[in-house]
Amino acid sequence: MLDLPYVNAFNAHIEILALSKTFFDIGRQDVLKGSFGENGYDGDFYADIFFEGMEQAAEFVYADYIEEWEVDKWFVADEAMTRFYKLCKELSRLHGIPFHDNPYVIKAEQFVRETLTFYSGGLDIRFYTGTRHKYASSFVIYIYPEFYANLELIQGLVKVFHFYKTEAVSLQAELYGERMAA
Amino acid sequence: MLKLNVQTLMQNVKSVVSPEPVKMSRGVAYLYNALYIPFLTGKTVLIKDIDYSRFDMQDVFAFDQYFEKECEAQYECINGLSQLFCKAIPVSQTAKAFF
Repeated sequence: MLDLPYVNAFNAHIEILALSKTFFDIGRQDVLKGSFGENGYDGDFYADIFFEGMEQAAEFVYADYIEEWEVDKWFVADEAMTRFYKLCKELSRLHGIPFHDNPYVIKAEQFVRETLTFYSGGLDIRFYTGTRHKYASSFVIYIYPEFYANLELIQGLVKVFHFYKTEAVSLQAELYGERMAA
Repeated sequence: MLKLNVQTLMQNVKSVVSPEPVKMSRGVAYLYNALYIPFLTGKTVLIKDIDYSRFDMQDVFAFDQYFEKECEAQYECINGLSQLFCKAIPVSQTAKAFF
């Protein structure tokens, strides 16, 4: 890509557009109508869009800064993810399949790997599949200063949590029948 | 020294053929008008002001590629001009300059 201020400015437009379109496609029009939507297609809004987008990506989001490593630490969790892994454990128990051989677990892991892989370096993601409390299944994300795909990361998280929501419904239907899932 | 013949320049400008209009999908055309034109004119569009039902994610990628091609064409143009100016011989202050 060409290194011109004009190009960089418009690249920010494309990133914002792709993220906003992702929110729209998964039925989160409320995000676009809220304070997130008040931001402009402009690099000056980039930081606000990042923080507000992160807050909207999942039910529970907590940020911290580790001064020693100069790294931003994000804890991102959603009840749907925990519900999904609870159901996976239930399915494994019923059919006698080890948790890591469960086809739903394998499919989810593949989806997460594909969706949360970026060209940019400077990102470390820890992936937890616990079920002891509401937000036990979660992602802990370490963002180093050299990481540049910030909005792509949010886009990926939005897709991943949407995946867990829809998969939890189909898994519940498989386990308890469609009436229960609804 | 490089000299500019205004008559030849005018003839060359007249002989330039208009480029073929770029074929765009409806979605890309919408994004072109809703985002690219305001960007070129220095206007800021708010996220909430875009109608996200009028295009799909493929249009976003196509729009990105369209923009990259535009940039490359502009870069070639700027590069050509800068090379032309690099070849020009400096003139003394007393001589009549074109600019």
